Amino acid sequence: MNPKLRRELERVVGPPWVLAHPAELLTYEYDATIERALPDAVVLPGSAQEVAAVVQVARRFRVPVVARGAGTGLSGGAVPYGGGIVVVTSRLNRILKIDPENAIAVVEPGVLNLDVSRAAAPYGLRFAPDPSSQKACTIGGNIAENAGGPHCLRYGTTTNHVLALEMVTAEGQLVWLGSPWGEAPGYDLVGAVVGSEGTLGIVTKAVLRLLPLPPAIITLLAIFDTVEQASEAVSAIIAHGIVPAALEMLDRAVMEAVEPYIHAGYPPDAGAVLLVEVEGLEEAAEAEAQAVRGVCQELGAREVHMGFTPEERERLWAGRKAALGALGRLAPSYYILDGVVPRTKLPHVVRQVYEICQSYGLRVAHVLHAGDGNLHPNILFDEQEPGAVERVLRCGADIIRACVEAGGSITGEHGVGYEKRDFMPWIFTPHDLEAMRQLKDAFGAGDFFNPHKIFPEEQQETSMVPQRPAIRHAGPDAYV
Amino acid sequence: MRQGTLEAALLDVVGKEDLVTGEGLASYSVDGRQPQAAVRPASVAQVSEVMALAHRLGLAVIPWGGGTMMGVGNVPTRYHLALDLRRLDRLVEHEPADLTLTVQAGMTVARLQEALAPHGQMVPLDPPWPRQATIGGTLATAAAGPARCSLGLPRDVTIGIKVVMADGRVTKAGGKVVKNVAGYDLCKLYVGSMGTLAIIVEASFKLLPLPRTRETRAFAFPAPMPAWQAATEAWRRHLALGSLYLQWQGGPYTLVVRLTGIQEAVDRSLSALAAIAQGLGGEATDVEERWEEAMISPADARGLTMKLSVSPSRVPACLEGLAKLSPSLTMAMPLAGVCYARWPEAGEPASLARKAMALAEALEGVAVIHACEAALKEEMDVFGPLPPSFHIMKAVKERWDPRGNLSPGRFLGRW
Repeated sequence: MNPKLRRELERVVGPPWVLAHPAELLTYEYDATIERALPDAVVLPGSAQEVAAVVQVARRFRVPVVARGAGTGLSGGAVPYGGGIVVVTSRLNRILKIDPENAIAVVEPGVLNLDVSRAAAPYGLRFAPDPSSQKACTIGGNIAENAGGPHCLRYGTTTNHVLALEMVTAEGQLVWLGSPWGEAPGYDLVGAVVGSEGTLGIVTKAVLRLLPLPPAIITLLAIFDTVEQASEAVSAIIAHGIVPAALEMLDRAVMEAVEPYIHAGYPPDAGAVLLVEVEGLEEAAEAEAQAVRGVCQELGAREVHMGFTPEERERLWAGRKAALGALGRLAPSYYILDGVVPRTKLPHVVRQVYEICQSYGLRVAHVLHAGDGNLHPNILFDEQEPGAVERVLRCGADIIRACVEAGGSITGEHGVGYEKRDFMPWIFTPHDLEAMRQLKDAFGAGDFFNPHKIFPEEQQETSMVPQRPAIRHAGPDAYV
Repeated sequence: MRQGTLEAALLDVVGKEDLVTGEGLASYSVDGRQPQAAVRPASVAQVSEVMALAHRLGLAVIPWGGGTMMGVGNVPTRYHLALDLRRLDRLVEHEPADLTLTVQAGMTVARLQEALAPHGQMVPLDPPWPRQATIGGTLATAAAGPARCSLGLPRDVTIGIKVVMADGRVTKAGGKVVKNVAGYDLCKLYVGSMGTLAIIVEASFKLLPLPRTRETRAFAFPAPMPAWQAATEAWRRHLALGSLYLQWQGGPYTLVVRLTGIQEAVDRSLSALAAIAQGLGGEATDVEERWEEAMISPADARGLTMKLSVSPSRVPACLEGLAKLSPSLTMAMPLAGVCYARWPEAGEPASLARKAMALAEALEGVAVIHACEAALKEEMDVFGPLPPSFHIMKAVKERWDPRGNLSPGRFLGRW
């Protein structure tokens, strides 16, 4: 790295918080995907002002900046392709305020998702978005990716729970967007920034909406002999106008991986299970639970279990949220996909997923935020096998293509990042993409923040296969 | 530009019956200004052609739906063409079992609800005057009534949008699925953009099941604080709230609550609500619901309507402060921190508006003039002081509408 740049950065944040030694940089070259790119420097600012000053320095030296939370992202969003300065938010980890009267939390971006709900719980409140990585992922990352999670079926994704943001712009200025109260006049810039994958600025504070904890939660486990029956039950639940808090599906391969490892209570001999949660007022939850049970039984559920103890419920969710990590038991590598389809198309597309994988001779373990129509097929393979990676990538692209053909989208919650840039034209016209670029221009961001993400690039370097980043070695630190 | 030239150019795009000139233009006046012409395109392609024409000729265009919210905004600096979208009123796609739909912008909210009711569904939009208010207008103004506590805001339920850009290009954002993070969420940008960025022509929504039971109750409280506490407590306890607001027209503060859902939950909520209200000194009462009128009175453009946004916990103080300014009607959405106050015969509207703005500021909130006579708008920016992110908003506007043809002068900062 340019020694002058290094000195400038050290002047801003203090020498201990600038990492430039190759060995130190290695920790920051990847996220929860496998593709790596080494940053030129890593900076760990301790305040919003320091973030702003770092951005000003980077601007002067014309070096791009990539913000990084916990690195649990699944589309290469935090990987600094082409180098640059990685700004890590781990020191910006203060919960500045829980305001129970107004049901808001004011937090710094490095605060862990689950810690917000933990801090709010004594007041009977919680932060609704609950990505499976919630013990590890940060609010800043949630905002960048518009993170979801099982319970966003009822409560919406991160974008529905962010009221205001303090952000460092490409000019290195701190600016507040939105308003913590009422309705702010003007354009909804908060809505534009949430989900912009770190390309418009670096969030330094967030005002989050909190929701009251439900008085009653009922968990159901519906066991089906086949995946078809389970996915038809999902479509039928939605068609009945029932929108549970969460409606998840796990197939046999996932349960096979999870059970020996977590002992979550899933029946490994079933074709698929639905893990459903309804909540709210006791009467409402009870009625909804009965309705869900009725639909599942009608569609051929072998058994529908209810009445779990809190410990049993905890284990079922632990099993669900650790599903990805457990896949390491089944194969040395896996490729995590993220597609969405209209919910009536779920049975059709779920069938297609297995057919496509079969045609490539690949095994798949499938876990779905089924109620949202959000699929996460995980293609299992061995990277050492010659030609496997290319085969897996083609298979993955075919699956995403099937989602698009069913009227869906190329990503439900993992983001476009680096992985799916070249899929964007499948759903957006050049004019649509141009409008999105206009927004980037309006923020003065150009290719300064997190370059090479979201937008398809004309010159594709032959050495980089676009979706490659989502392939990783199985490990306990990945979540879907 | 010359009237004849303009009309001839427009007639290349729309049929004679869909071009309005002369006397018919009175109903398209904005803050007392009439356009040179109005067009009523019947397809997205026609909207696109109209906008391409406006782009070429430098015409200032103001999009129109039902017109309920046209009082909101500053006086237009230029106004050649009213773009009436009410003929774009088709349900584009509705697969009931998906709980989503796509609809054109010109359909009224009430008509859409009527079309969905036989399927046991509803679109989660609650603007005032839904028989007039269109889908496009509701999105453009981000209009949300007391049901926001159960439905969310227009921004939260819009999953996809199609717009015609200032130069006539048709673009879309989002999609037709309920969860989607592909690309920037430009839906958020268009919702609430007040016709200044692009013409909304189509939108996709998440739907909700139509509640099987509805019960409305009202409770009179001697002061705003216990009324606010009752509302907050009902929310904290997960009562089956469908909608909720406070109404004041002198005298007691009335909390109006609609409970919706399955019978058992509504029954349980009714008794819980009554207990909460009584515990806080509220008495069951009858009420003539006037929240729509408090928010906006399209039929009566006189007087002054202010909209104040404060922290929810400041709503009682805000209502007390407003009472001192003697509005004839006030409504507040206590969980959201939004209060509307209306003075139908404001003697000195400028002074009242400034007092309401000062009140909001003292409570660390903001007040905007929601509706008033054009004369007052000449005196002050109805949106009040500019927000700190104004320079970004301006940059957005400059990208989307570089020639300043869309509702010029109407938005924040009158640009």
